[in-house]
Amino acid sequence: MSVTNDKIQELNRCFLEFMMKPENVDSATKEIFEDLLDEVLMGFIFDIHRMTKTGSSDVEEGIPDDESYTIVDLPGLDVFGQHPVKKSQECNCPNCERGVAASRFATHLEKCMGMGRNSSRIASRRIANNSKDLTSYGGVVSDDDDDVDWSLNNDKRKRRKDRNGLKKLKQPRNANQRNGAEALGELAYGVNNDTSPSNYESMSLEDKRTLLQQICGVVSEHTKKLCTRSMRCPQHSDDQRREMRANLEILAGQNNGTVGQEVGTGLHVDVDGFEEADGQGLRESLTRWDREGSCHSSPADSTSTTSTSSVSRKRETKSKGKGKTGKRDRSSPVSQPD
Amino acid sequence: MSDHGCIHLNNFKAAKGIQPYKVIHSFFVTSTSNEARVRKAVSCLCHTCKSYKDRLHSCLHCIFFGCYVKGHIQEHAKTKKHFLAVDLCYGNILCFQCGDYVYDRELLVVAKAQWSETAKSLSLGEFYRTWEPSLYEVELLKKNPRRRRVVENSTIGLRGLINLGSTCFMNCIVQALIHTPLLRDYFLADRHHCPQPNRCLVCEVSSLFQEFYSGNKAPLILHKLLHLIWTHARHLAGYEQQDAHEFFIATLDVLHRHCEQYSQVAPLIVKDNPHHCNCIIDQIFTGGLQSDVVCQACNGVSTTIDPFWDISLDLGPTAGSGGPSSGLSKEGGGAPTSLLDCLERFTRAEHLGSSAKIKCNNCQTYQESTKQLTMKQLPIVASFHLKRFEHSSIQDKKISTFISFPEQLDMTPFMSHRRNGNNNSAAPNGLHKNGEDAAFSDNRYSLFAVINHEGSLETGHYTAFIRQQRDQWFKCDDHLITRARLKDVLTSEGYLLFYHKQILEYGRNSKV
Repeated sequence: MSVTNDKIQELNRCFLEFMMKPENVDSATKEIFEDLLDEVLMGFIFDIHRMTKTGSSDVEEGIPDDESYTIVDLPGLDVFGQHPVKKSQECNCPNCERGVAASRFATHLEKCMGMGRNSSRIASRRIANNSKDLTSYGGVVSDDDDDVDWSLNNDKRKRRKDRNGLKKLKQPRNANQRNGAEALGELAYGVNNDTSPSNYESMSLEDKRTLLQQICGVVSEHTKKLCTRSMRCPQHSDDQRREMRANLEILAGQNNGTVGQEVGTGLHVDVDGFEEADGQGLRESLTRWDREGSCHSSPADSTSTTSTSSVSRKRETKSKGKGKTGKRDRSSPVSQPD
Repeated sequence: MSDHGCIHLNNFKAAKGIQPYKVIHSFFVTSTSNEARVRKAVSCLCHTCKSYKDRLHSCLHCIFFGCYVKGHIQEHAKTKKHFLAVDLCYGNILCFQCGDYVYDRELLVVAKAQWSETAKSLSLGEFYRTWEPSLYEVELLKKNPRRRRVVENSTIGLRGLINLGSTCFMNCIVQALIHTPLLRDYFLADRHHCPQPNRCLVCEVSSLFQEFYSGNKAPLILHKLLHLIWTHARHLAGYEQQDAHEFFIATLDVLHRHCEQYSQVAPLIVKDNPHHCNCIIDQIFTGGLQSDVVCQACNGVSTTIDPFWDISLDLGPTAGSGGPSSGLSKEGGGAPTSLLDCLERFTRAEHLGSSAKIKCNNCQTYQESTKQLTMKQLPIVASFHLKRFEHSSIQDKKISTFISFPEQLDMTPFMSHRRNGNNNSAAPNGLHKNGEDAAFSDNRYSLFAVINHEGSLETGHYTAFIRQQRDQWFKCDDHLITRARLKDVLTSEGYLLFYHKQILEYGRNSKV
């Protein structure tokens, strides 16, 4: 190593001595520059040489794309030369796999994922029920009545041959429309079999009868709840009480008591068997019923069906007391231009 | 075509292996150590004419250096029948029997590794190398011979985005990300591999790049992206969320998390900075912000460095920040009128006032102090957020004053070593401890995306200007893409400004 050290020192000494003379500095600068330039050029040449020799340049070259992608720069057209007209487009919601109009997707997704002002309730209920099919239905249908973001033809659910299920589901249509809607509403409450008045709609017919022997039971026009005072409550007339009980018995007769029992237990309903057409009809009847603004909801109707398809319909029914208009307002989000 | 050298080289390799090449290459071509550099300086001379230039070659068979220009290496080959020589400048092998330079994949790999070693031993960044397809990539390229080139005036890389109902904030951020040059290179080079493509936002962005460069002209629907971001960033989920800046930061965060989470290689955490991983998002967007708190009593400095993804700049007039205005701020109030103003103000020492005394680590007493923020490490993409939306207890308002911003921006004045130089701070003259020659680094940036907010605080619309191919500008208004002039860009209001570093130092970034 000392030999090389000596050599280095020797080199340094020579270098300094050489650089003492200004004319040497000039020529050295020039020479170094030329050296560097030569080296850099050689680098390029080697790159090209290697690419040609190893064949990678041919591979990279390939066949050029023959289509033209030239930018169009004309007034009224975009860079692709297209007229910027908004076509209505559709996409499938990654959450519920339904077709949604693209321009309304954000609104939809918010609700579908349960993130809007109201939707967390829908979502949590959906999770609680833990049914895949409910994701596509329960959550959203009820939330906006003008259901334009659903495209019906996109529905891939196939029809099941479960006759029983179908029959049950169709029932609300056969009954009068009001009954149908009300019946759908009650279902969410089918889960807990509590016999308190607040759970009235989910009770079995027998429980209802028992309950109505104890309380007034007339549905208030304002709160839409059962009156829980005694049978001799001064607010309601005996006629009203009688009418209410009569309705219950009429409906019990209609349904022959069979389906009614299922309300308490048979929560599980196959939505697969629920045809789209049914859904449409249902929804129509629901809206109509809404518009009519019927407020003597007749809780007796509640034993008629077991369709889970509108679990959250319940919410609407219940909240009606607070004002129909309020509901309508929030269920029609207008997509803004931005 | 071949990258298997030639028959003569292969015979040589079979007889003597690759060791001779390795030794020559590591000492006299790349000089991977100090010792090697000394040896190269002393002994790289033509053994015949003592020239140090004229394309020196080393014989691969014996110890002999000869120049090519004057024919001394050829002479040696002929007389000794040593037909293989190594070019001492680039390490290529010359075969005299073939009469040409030959390339051998195995030796090229050795060479590449040694160049990296050299760069490391000189504490330089990785040397730049042009891309070369791997064997697998060559196969792919052969199978798919069609090439789409992004030539000037081509719409490739542009795509409109459908508004999904007040999602212009997302569309703008996506346009800005897609047109981030380094991010584009990363994704178009197919660098993200993932075991869970359906849940990973990085994969979704990767497929977006494919869409943008597919040549398809129909606008895209970003429904999957929105769903993924809302799923992974619950806090901004919801229809009412509309701030592009918030969305940008959340998107980076999700991307960063997914890079880590789904990467097969465990992320390298750089020692000094726990927040700094080597995922592509951090490599591109993360910078280091230095905060120096100077005690007014003892002049003791306490320094912390925090990572940042963007810099939020105040636009309001400088309010007298509590205490009596310190002598440090030269200009008093007045609202900033340019990006440089804002940055100057951002990096100015600020007197913390008597109400906010801080315990000084040096003198252990509570003292008034000044605080100064500077750029310790610049990200490759510098994102600036002009705080146009002012939320105060009195009212929320939008500040629409014009803030000029340049096409080219030099960040050097705002670097820690520069700013502290003006100040009474520790490291004088920007001399750095780790041998990092900050003084030589190039901190020039160029503008590549601007996001604008039109309208009021309540109702507004976001649009983006994006740059394609160095100087072509386009306006992205959801599904509508039109050409724009630089003037339009520079005179626009500006809400988020994205600058890209002009000169990249390879292999440098992971080092803080």
